[in-house]
Amino acid sequence: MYKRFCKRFFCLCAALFLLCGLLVFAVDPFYHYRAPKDYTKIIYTLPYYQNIGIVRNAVFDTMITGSSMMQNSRANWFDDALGCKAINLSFYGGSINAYKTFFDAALEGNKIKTLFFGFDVYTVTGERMADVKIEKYLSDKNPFNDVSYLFNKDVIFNYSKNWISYRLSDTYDFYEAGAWDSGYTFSEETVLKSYRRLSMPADAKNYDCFMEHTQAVTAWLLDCIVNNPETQFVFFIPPYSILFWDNMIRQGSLDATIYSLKYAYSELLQCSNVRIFCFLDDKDIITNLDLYKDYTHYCPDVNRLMLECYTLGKYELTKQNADDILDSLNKYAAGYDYDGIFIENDD
Amino acid sequence: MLFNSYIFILLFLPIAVGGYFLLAKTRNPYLPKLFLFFMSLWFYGYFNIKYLPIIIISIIANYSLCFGFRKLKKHGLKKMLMVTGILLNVGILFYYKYRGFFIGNINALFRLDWTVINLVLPLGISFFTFQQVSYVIDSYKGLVPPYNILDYSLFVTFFPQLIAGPIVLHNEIIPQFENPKKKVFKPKNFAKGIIAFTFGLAKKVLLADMFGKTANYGFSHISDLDTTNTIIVILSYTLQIYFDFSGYCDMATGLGLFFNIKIPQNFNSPYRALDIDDFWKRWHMTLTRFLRTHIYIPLGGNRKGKLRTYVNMFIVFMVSGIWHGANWTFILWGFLHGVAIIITKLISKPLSKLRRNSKPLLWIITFVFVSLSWVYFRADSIADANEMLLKLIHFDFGAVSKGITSGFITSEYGLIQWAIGKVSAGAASVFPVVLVAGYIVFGLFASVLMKNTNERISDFKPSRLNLAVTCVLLIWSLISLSQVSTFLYFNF
Repeated sequence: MYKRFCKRFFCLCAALFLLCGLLVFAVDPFYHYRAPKDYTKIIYTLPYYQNIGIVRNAVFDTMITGSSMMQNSRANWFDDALGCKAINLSFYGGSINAYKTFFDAALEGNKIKTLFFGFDVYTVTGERMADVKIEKYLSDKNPFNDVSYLFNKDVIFNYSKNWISYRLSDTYDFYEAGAWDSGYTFSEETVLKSYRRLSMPADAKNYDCFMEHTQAVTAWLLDCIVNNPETQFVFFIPPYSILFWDNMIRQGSLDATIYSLKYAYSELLQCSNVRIFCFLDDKDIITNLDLYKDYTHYCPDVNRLMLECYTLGKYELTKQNADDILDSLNKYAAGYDYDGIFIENDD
Repeated sequence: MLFNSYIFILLFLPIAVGGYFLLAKTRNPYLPKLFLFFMSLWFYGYFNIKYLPIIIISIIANYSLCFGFRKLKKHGLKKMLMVTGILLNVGILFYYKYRGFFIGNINALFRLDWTVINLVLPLGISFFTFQQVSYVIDSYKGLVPPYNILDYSLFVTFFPQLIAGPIVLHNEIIPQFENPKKKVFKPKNFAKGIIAFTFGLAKKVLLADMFGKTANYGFSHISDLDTTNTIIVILSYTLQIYFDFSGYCDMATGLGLFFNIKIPQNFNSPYRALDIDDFWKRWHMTLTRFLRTHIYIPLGGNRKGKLRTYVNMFIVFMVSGIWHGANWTFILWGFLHGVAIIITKLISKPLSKLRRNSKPLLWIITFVFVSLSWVYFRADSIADANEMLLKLIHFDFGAVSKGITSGFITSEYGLIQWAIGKVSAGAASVFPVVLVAGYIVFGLFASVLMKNTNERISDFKPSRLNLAVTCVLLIWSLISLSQVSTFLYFNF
């Protein structure tokens, strides 16, 4: 009686367990095992879990990545402008840990001709970045820890459900799936409402206080760049609003940030397969708060403008102009009349 | 390694059980035990390999000490050796668990600035320390037969009880390892083991972890709570700690049964208790037994008059408090229980009358006291606990907050809510509150009125119903071990 119970128990459990695993394997919502030949059929819902699988298994030649600053860059704009097969696999929060794991996987197959990377100031300085890691079972090639993927109730219940409902939907558009702009209002009023200005400026930090982080990040990027000479690395330095610089000054970080940026850019520009487009000091953009939803995040028009500038070669940093541009930015940010923004709005 | 992990359930456990009974077939009495000992070391070292030397050195030191008891003839020397043994065990525990707390208090008291190094606490140190202290004392009293070092090492490291108890005694476990009849695979024990392990796993993964999310939210957002949400948080923690700890002990019982080893019961439906004395006879029973045997009775127990009995009881509860954790919150928790048990003893006569006539009233008083005292046990500081308890008398009854309900909306319930939303948006919006209420009512029902795992396995008879229930619970628990973090990065 007890022996039969044990046997039945194991058979039934094994059957149910296998069923769960087979369901996830068949649906493969994180594209861990395969991706559709036409990558526009990809159902994109969760960057930190799906980007690794997509980058390994989808067929494309141009990749756009970065933080939420890059998420609104539609990949089909790049297709149209550059005649390439582009895919945007950005990570909200822009975790450096995630970037590292992701770049390793992306550059492994040597299939990326051009990599557009939204290179945030925070990535260089290490201030305020999310610390999220990509799950090991997704990034490594150990088939045994795939149990965490195959027998995962969230994958089974939630993402399989999303996958099925997206599959049945006629309106789903892969190019829109990773973008976040549709849920937000871009206006000066929204920006000022959400901006928490520090009441008193902090003392200026040491000019080299971020350098340990900056050197580590730069070394990691140089390693990627040097080991992949066939890939063109294009860095977009996003244009944060003028309030971003107000915040920098209030935190005492302005000089230290500029110092770190100078180091990182000058090191990267030593490589022939690197181009850097810096929009930090585009005054038409950064002072027009109607283009933003908060003090850093801008509307998709800005993303499109960044691509246009790339095609025209505008705003490109070179070994010769990099330091001058950053010095002039420092001067501009330090001398800007920030109080005027708030006084104007109080009126 | 944790019981509630894929590596334990899908790899470690099949190897351990299969290997043990396979080696038992060789009829060599040492091989299966040696195998189980090494498996237990793997289990322990998996979490942090640095812990392994600590437990191994502790085993060798204690075994050598007890070997000394047999060789020494002079009583004085024996006593000195026993004190050395106790100090050694308690010293290791103090060094890892209480050093930071002690230095922190010295610094605060004398305005000093001694450096506090927070060491990573070796897993299960409080359990294996008490287990070995008990062995040293019994050896000193001559109550320990000459076990070999393998038996002793396995007694300390046997993985089912290694990291979260129960605190087992040598005479409960070692004779079972030595019994050749226990080295034969027994389907009846195995089937009971499946039931105990599965119910324990389900209690931990499907109930405790769920209540835990709400409790964690509540204790980290005390200032945001109103009275309604405070009640939910307190009940959630009360249920979390019971399902977590007793679930782990149920798993230990089940694992023991896989090897035909009977592990002592540690929980006997404590939330059925009608007074605090009753509660401590049902909650963490092996700790209560240890404290009674090794602290209460040596202090004189109830043999030295009423006042001394109460003092002894109070000391026991203060020790219990500090054993649970290095913080004033635990000490205050122990203090509250110590005071409560003395009051229970003082009013024992009227209480016995009430026991006959007013059981529900006694149950409510006991349950409320236990639940409120858990607030001190869980809070980061006494001030936090006070703040939370004060929320109860604000009588500010608002709606259940989103932070409270979100912990309960796991993907399976998200799917149900989505399906309800397709039919009625209104029903979908109240679903989270209904779910929270349902979980709390079920948690109370399961902990008070349903059979506990020991009752369940002693009455166990295979049937299609318990086969189906056990299978579903195991699979549901297994697929809940890995989850997808939603990573709520609201402002990017």
